[in-house]
Amino acid sequence: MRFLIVFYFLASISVCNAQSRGIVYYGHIESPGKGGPAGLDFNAYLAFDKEASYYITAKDSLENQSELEKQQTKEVNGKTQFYLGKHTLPQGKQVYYNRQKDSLWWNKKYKEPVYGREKREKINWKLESETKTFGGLTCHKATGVFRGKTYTAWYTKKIPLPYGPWKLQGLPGVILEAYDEKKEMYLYFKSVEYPVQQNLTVGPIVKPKEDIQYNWISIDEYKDLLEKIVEKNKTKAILIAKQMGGDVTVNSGGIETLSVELFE
Amino acid sequence: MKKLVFLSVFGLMSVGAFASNSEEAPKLPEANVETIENIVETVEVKTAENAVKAEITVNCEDGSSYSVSCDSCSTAQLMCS
Repeated sequence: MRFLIVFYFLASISVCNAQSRGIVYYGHIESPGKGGPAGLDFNAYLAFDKEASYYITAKDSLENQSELEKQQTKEVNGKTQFYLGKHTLPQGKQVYYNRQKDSLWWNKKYKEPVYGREKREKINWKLESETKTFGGLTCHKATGVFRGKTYTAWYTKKIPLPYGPWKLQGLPGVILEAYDEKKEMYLYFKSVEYPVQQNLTVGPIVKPKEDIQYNWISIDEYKDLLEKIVEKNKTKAILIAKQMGGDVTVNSGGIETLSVELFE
Repeated sequence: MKKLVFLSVFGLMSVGAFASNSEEAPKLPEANVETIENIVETVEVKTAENAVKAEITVNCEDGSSYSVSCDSCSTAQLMCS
């Protein structure tokens, strides 16, 4: 009898945990300073359980490089965007959110790899009545400001966990689609698996061996780093103009062309 | 006699060949002329694609980007370092 009670207890815990595990697949188009969704279209997913969420995009293994090459030239709002080189990473660009620590860890790469950690920034979402359906799940609209941009998010109460793609979070349900007014950050829904029965790895971010020397930086250090990169890019633009020669004018942009997150 | 017959046949064939060469060349149907014009247009479009006419933004692997404007440079000239 005792054995049966213990078995029933353990089984119910396991079922509850499985109920809160899920994965959402997105398309991720990040186009800082472009005025529209002119960036490369990457595959992305958000894996989550009760404790944490893990978002990843621009990962080598998630992409078909020849498909990305087809996007080498893009035209948005009458302007031509030309993409040179490889824009994915072996480990991808990741964001890990731990609810208990109420913090996010993330990585990206400019010339050098960057690893950041920050306390979760509370977004004051305005919940609206409009609804839309994604993958058979009814989603509700919410709007909120996050680092200089007003985002529209579509979240579902069917998955009552406060997660979302990239750094967007804090709604009464998982965000299935989100974008800012100009769609310079455009995270669109592809599919959802919820609940997921099998085991799912939900972070944390593990640095590859070659990146061990890079420390986790704060958001203030990240701001400083962006400013330094902007200065370097100005010099680089002058050199490129010289190398190209002739009647060429080369302009490097400000922070808004490097990051969709804008800081005061 | 044989020689005479041979010469007269040969003479007739030569006259026939000469007569056919002097005919006015047949005009090409209009549809064919249009096809040739289309091919010429395609080549022009390809040339225009390679030349940077207006402002173009170059996005580099390291996350930086810059905009270039020039009148007659080609995409092959665009670089990141």
